[in-house]
Amino acid sequence: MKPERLTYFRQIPASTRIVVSIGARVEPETVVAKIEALPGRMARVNASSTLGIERRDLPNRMVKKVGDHVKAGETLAARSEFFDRRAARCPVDGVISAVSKNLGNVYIREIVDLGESMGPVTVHAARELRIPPAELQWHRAPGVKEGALIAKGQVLAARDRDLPRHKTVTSPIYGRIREIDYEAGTITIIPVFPSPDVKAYIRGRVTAVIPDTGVEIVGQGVRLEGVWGLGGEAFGPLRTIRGDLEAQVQVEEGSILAVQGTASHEALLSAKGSGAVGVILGYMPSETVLSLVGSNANLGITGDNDVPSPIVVMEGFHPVPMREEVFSELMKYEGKKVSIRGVTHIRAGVIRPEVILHSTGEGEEVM
Amino acid sequence: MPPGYVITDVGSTTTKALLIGPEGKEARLIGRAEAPTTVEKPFEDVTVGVRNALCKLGEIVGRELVSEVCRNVGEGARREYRYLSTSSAGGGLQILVYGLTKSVTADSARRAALGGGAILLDVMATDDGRQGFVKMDAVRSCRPDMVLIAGGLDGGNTQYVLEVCDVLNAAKPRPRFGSGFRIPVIYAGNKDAADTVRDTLSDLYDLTVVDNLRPALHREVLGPARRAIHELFMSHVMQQAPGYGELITWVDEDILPTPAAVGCIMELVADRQGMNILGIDIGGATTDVFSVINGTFFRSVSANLGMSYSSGNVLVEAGLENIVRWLPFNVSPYRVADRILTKLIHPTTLPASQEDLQIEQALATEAIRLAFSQHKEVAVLLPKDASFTTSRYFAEGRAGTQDKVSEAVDVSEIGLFIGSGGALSHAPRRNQAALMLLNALQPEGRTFLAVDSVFMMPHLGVLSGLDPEAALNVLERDCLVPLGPVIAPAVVGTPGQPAVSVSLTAKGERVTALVNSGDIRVIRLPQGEKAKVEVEPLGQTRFKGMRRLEFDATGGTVGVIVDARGRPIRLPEDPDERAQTNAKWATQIAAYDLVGYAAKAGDRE
Repeated sequence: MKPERLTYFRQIPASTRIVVSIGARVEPETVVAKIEALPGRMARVNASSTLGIERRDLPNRMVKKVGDHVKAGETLAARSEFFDRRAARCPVDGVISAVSKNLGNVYIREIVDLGESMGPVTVHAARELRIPPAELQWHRAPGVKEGALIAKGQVLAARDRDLPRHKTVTSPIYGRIREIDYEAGTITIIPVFPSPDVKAYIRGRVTAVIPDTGVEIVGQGVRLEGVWGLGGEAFGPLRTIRGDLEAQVQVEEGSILAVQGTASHEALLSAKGSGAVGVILGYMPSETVLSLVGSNANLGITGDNDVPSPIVVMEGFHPVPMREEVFSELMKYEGKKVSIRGVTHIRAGVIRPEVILHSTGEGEEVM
Repeated sequence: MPPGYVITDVGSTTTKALLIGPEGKEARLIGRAEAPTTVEKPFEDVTVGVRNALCKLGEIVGRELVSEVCRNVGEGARREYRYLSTSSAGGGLQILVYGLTKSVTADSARRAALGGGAILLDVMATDDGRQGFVKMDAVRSCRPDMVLIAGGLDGGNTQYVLEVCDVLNAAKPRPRFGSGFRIPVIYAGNKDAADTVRDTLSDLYDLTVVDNLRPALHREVLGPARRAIHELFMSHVMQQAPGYGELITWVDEDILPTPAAVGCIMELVADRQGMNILGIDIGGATTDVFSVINGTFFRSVSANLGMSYSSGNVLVEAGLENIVRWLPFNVSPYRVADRILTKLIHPTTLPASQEDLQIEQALATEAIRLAFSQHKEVAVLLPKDASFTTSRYFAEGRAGTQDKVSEAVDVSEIGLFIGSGGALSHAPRRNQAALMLLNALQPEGRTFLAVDSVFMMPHLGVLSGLDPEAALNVLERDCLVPLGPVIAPAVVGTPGQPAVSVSLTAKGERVTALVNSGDIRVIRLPQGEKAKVEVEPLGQTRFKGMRRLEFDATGGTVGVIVDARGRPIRLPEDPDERAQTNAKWATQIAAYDLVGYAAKAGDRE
């Protein structure tokens, strides 16, 4: 298999700082951008009422405009008549997203930081509220359910809501609720962005930087397409294993395993425990798939499943090992750095999982 | 003599062209051809695909169609054929629906959009449990063709609907096609808020205000909103989609969204036959269910149920055990899951063995069952009680409303079931399609099953507006394949005991068959042949609301189907016994030649 020119565009979310410039050489793990903050909850200020003006006069009284960044306490709109000076102030740090001329409201999108968590966070909600775990179901806030997106600071559960001495539990991160456990009284949240770093993913050179949008990287290597996968991106030195993955395998920390056969759920957990960051499999029986992702997962659209590490399946679900031609190609890269991505979208605009075998770089110029 | 019609359906992947013309004194299908749709790169012009399909069709029928059809209809020259089209290319008409309360206005708006032939990107409501920022991000990322806002009952609060408008202004969704294009927004809510809504949204959106689609809890007026959807689809959305600006100049009548066209022909059939009908179109990614109940058209789209791209979702939503329960052989459930997931990753493959086919048909049965169940949730009748007011709604909560809403679809009152989509239309034997429909929909009483031979209902739907007689004739003669009448008692006695006695009198000959509880029996009555049917329930057998049945029947490709399994169909718990039971039914309806079973059970005739 011959190396080919690879072009990847690393798209970035809002409020992200690009930290590389055109021409920079990058490795898969090189940080190309840092997410600093994200637009979060929307706050509403009834400014016309505060100012004592007609609702439709509000646009004329605004001292900030839509799109402006504002700090908590800053004046949004003001009335400065003789003996009657009033100001509508911003309750949060954020960006003004709309001014309503018919309701007299100003809407501010709060800027939230991501929170500091590389992995799932478990909030001991029942313990903090001092209620029995089973009662959490009566005290959780509206919209707090498994799968819901939660902003940092959003109320997860509350006790004695209508009383002055009420107690609340809030989310420490911006994330998605993975589980609400009514036996333990906990709420587990997975961060939407497990890391604030956007990495290069492939080895190459930065060829374009588009502010607020992303970075284009061009490299060279062999791209192998899998048929189905799970999880996001990973990179590391490759270690090939003929046959199936044994449960007690010992691997180098940070490596990617390429297994010609398959791996059980236990073997995948064990590989993760011993340091593997990604796995390429020949096949994966549906029994393993369902035990890994649960029986409610959308199997046609994957990528954000909670799995031990990204997985790329090369052949399918029937017990058919990886083709010798493909496995031999992987063996040529034993010990070398490779990148994998498990994301799969089986629909119009299909996305298949992939393995990138990078060219060594030195002496091989990008085409 | 009816004129000739050239009709295309510009689908997401293929453009299907038909020529309908006079044959003797009636309109018939003359030819059919298809070509890949060219809405995507490198062409980005649907007219290329239309020309290709017409070119092929012209070769098949030996006539020059491209130069005849592909020109501006306004240029004055007389045409030999009239040209019509439907479209679902580029993902169809994608609408974002916003209502106030999930179970009242948002639900009505959903029905209006679905009935207008739309794909729903999201249905939002102030009480749907999502945080404002989640909704705003969803609005921003969904890139709708159109937004439908249904806000409040007439005379109710106007504050909430203005909040909805503010969220929309803050989110500023971008349209799917065209960059300088203002997204059409239809406001069909509280009439008292119309002026302020106009004032709030007109700067950023192309706003159309129509009558409130839910003026009161017990009243729903979907017509004006549906008409606005259709008009804006033609005047805005279609003008932006690649190539449609030209296609619009070729057609003699407005282009209809494909599902809306299917609705037109279904309504016409239901009206002419004076019966309730239900249609299922099971595709690779989605399953559409259409019904016309007492003259009202309902449509639901199960976006995650399908036979290829969505097979994994059917597996998840139905559960592996529910799929395996329809198989006529005992097999490890995980082996079945392996095959279903293989279909997911290779969505265009076809079954390579009988076992694969049976697994696909078990999957289709469950997909249809789930889609039908979702349809029943959409097809509801509003509370008849005019005293059920907003204040009572809020006092009694959602549950209060639910008590007042009832399902419109009653399987015992459907006169015709139409199956469509590859799994049903292209089943190697029509009898297999009949078995899938029976197992999935479990019709009761007396009904009729048919399948669409090649999916031409959209074409006939758009034709029905111009020439209903031609559309109905082609539907009956060239489109639908009658499978046969079905007799299915709701209650039967002990398995193995006589359940019904069915007598058929045709051409002066009388045939009587005794059918046992737990069995299916097919009585031969060739397609098109008429017979008088008399059904006598025996023992504990009961038909809903009837003692005995007597009716005139017309035969189908399967025959007269007597399904004496009772409702709901009960399957044995034991896997071997269950497989044997399925094999017995498959053999009794001649869906498969399960020789092993036949030798063992001796039940074949």
